[in-house]
Amino acid sequence: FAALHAAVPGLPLASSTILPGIVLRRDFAAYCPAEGELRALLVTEPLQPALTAPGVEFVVDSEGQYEASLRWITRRTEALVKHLQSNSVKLLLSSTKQDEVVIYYAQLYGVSVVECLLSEEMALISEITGVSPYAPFGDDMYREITEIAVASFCQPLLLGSKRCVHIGFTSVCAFQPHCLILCGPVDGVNEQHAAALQEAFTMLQQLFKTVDQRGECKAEGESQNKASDVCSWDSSPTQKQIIVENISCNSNQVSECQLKALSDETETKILAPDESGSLVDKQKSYSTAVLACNADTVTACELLDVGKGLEKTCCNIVPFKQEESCVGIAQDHSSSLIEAGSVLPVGGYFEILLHYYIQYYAKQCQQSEVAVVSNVVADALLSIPKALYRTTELDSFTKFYLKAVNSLRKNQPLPGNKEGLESVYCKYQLVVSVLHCVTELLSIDLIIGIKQPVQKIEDRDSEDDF
Amino acid sequence: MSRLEAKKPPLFISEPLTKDTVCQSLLLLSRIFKSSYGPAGRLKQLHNGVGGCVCTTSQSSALLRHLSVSNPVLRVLTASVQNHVSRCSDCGLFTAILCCSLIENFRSLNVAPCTVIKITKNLLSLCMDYLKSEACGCRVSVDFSSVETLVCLVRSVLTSKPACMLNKTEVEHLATLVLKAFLFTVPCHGETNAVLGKCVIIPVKGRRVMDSTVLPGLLIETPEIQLGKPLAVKRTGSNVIKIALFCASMSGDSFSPEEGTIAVRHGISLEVSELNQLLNVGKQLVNDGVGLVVCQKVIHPSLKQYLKENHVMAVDRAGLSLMEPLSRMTGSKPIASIHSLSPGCYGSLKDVSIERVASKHFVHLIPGDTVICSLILCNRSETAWDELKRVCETAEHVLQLTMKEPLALLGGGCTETHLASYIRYKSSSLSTSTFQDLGCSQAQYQLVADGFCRSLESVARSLNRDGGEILTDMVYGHCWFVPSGLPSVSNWSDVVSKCGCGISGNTEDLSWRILEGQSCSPVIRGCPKEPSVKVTDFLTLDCFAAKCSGLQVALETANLVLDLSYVIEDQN
Repeated sequence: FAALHAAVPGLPLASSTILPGIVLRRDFAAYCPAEGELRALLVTEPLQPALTAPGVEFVVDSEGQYEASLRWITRRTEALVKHLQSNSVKLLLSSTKQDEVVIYYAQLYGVSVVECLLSEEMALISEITGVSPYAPFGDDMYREITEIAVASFCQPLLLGSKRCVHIGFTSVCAFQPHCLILCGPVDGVNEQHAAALQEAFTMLQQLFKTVDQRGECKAEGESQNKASDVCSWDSSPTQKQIIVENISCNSNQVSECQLKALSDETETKILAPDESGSLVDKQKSYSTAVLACNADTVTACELLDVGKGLEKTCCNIVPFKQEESCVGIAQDHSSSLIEAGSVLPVGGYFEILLHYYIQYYAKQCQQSEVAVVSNVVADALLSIPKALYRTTELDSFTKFYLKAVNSLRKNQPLPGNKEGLESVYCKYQLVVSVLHCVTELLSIDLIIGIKQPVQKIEDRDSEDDF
Repeated sequence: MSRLEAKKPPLFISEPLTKDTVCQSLLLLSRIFKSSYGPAGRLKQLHNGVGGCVCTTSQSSALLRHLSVSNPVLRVLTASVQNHVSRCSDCGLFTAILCCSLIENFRSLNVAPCTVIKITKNLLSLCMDYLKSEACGCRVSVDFSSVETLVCLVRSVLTSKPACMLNKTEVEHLATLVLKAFLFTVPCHGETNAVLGKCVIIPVKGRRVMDSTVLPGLLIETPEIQLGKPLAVKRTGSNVIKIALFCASMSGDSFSPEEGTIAVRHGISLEVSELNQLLNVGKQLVNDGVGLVVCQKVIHPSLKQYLKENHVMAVDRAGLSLMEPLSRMTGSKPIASIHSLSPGCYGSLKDVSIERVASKHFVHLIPGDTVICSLILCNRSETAWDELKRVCETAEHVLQLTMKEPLALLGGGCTETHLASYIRYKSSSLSTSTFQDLGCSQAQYQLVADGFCRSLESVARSLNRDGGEILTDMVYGHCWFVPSGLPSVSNWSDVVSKCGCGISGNTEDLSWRILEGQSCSPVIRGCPKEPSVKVTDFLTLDCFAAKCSGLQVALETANLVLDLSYVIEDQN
């Protein structure tokens, strides 16, 4: 993500856009305008051979020899750049700084040069184009260059007052890179927006994970791992692809309207004026979002219903230790079955639902201890909607709670909040993590202060080897 | 052994805007900005008590660069303004004043910050839609086929900074020069990807402003050239001068390995070898018919002598900053190696002459096709020159921005008052569904809208310095200044002659009223109109792109500051 966005401080938020291709935040070392498609080469080492290297001594026997060596270096560089030109390479992307002589010859032979690329940028370009860096000093300098990437365009771009390089690559994989240009009054704001967007993308990726129905109830710690293992298998490649495309903000290529609605939704929430789609497009997707939200509320209710049935069978095997059982319950509850892409409206509905079913479970529970703990967890969940509704009127939380619980009892769909949606999978992960954390805290009986920082386990292992 | 210091706990400030210290520094900052604004703005002298240079200025960029603001809340504000200035050059003080004033006005309102932010965003979109619409009454389109509006734009920038110490004729002279320099940088041939050239400013301090001038091409300072001698430069068959541009050092001690070592046998001199190589290059230059050699770094005296004997002019120490314009102007490629020369890297020049400015000698390179020019900028004192240089750069940037978007806004406070009266009119006629969408009541909306308008008007008010009244009219919503010292009059039309931007005169009854800071102004009946009779000469105009961006940045920053609920500062 870091390579796929650029921040411009000093411009209003509304100037933020999405550009196709990638933006490298440095200027050309040499720029030769070229029309249309052009062939590009990645290099990771200086193209100019060095006279000496570290630890190597170059002995000068005569002035002629010295001159000849220098001349040879220059000739060789020229020959190399000429060779690039004859292979119609028009762009050189280098991770190191190149000598002035290289730049000079590149300019003479119509090759644009961008220097000092970060290793992440090199890796990204390699991934997009499927091309590995070119090593110029092989056995035969004049061999055919095979490591050529094709760029659809390459031009200077003015971001604020900085000159940048804007390149579009013809991608070999399904991933079409796009670059997000974020504008804001100060750098700090841009950083926050970038972080928020990155989190939104992580959320979207998580959204398409599923929690599978478990055949048997296993030990607590393992079950979570297992669930996430299953997830990674379950998310089919096509879905992954869609998500990746979403990261590049290419909403046109996303066919699944629900996903699109979501991506737009999240963007609206985080960065209201920063949207790519046209207005009509946005409105359309918004309405689908609302539709999806209603439909999903019902399915979510049903899902949890299914889960309830399952967890009844599990509750016999629930371990006896108090704290651990909390984790067990939560997992039993929500890990029953979460379909890929399940969403719930925001505004505390997830917490209310979970609270409702945990209470329901507690009532049916034979073991009083488990019932007590379940109730504690259920009440704790309510603290989230309580905090959400604290800012407005005093009794608004009670109103909201009663309304939601009533409709649950009647098995009606919940009154949908039209402001946004949240991923059930993410919420599930969150609750599980919180319960783990609480379990750990409750298990601690003594805190011991030590002077030295705690060593990492790997360090100790290596010491043991001696 | 290093001493370990216990870590201090982070400083934790809640609701920073309610703290007295923050408010006082905000007020101080706001006063500094307001008092510096406009042609009648007071100057600020910045100097270090220990010594060093003194900077006299009323420019936001210079002020903010030297002011050290410690408060994190205000640092957000100053950083915003600085970023804006680095993008747009112009309207820095406008942004700063508006932002301070918005924060002051909204802080005192009894409305929750999140509601204020929602409403201001709505107000901003109203403003931007209006400014970008054809119906906008406070903008004029810039016609690039005539110089009048362009001169107005440049003149407004020049006159807004009194620290340049310019009189009227000097302003006119400089405005023409800046415009001329800008027009030089516009390529003559219409290409699809035309790139503007560059104007290089040559400093000449201690001379009259009227001595400033613009020359096409570039000037390179050369202390050793004698004026008396006629220039004998070799020309090619087509009567142009062939030029070779070197970015590699030609001093003969260039080679130094970055890594590793070079062992030299006794009796062998690498310097001699390098010099031989240089003389070889010289021979090739002479054979290729090169008339002028320019080197970014130093040329060895022997090579210089050799070139001179062969009637090749040699100029060295051109400096890195001149290399790009030199290469662009002559079409030559900077040569990085002294080991091989390719004929493709030479460029051409129309003529070369020697210029003498003040006590300095320059070689003047005159190109065939001018996109590069030099502005020789003179001013009497060092600090006034610095200010003038920044102002000229701003003016050039304003012209570039205007070229992208050929629009200008009325200056002299008229845009601000006009926009304020438009917002007052518009906000009184909004439908109830708007308030529902924003989640606020109509009263809240009115309060915030009024605060917004007062902030805009306070920018216009800070243009006034001599204590006279400021009026606004009810028809066009323009800004009018009343000279001070007049006895109180009943009829305003007796004392005002022209509005702030100069577009409308006192020809009809416009029902003026005093522009006041605190009280709610009455709402005008209709949308403010665009003056029908237009004067096109001597208008005060502002850059459209810079002002729009400044308006947005000011509002966004104010929202950001208002939304701050905690400041957590690491004290380590």
